[in-house]
Amino acid sequence: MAAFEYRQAEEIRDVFRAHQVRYLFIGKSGAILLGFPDTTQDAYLFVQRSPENGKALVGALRHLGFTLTDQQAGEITRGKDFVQLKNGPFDLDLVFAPDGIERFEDAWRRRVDVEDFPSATSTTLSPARRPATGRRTVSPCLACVHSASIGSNRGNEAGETGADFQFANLEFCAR
Amino acid sequence: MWRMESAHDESSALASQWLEEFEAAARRPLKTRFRYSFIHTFKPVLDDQPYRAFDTMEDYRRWCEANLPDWLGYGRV
Repeated sequence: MAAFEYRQAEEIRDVFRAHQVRYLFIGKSGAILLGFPDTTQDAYLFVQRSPENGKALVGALRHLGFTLTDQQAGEITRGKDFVQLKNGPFDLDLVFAPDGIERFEDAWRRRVDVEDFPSATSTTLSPARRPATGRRTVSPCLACVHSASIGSNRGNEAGETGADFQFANLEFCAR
Repeated sequence: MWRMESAHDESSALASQWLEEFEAAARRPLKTRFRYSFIHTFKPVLDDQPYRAFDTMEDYRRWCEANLPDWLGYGRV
């Protein structure tokens, strides 16, 4: 399996849009979208847990080329907290209940779209959960401070841009 | 006092380094950032199965601790 590529992210974006899947890039992959200059091996998606979205997600994954048994499709539709997929054209991790984020809607409202890739932001996390819940972090405070100056993002409804970097992203997957 | 100043200098230097790195990253197109940011190496155990699902994040973290080598970096700190 090769490294996750930009064109694969585009495929996710386009196919998920076509299937109307509600999701956000999260973890270090989300942080990279926001400008975090580091490396990762994993692409994480925070997916809204609902029957409709679960069905749409399964359809989108199959469209992308993931081979899912009926049992696996059922688990994804029901939204197990964490699903690792290595049975498709690229590796993908699905997170239905990331630490520190209580509701998908909150994260969605505060997302930042970078070239139409939706990414979670730090302000998604409840204050009590910032900066981390146990995973290694990579100087998130400094990252947070400076990403404010990255002006390529459109910003979200709250007026936040790549600025509000991501404890969520960093804490979930600083590896 | 010296220690505090030293720590402050160190922190400032680190901040400057981060600023430079972010500014450099910001100058690159997203496509290029992807190319440099996503890497792949074989991960023992983790890559052995095509599919895994965990009922809770706690289950996942426990599984990582119990099954993955520490050097992969998936453990709790």
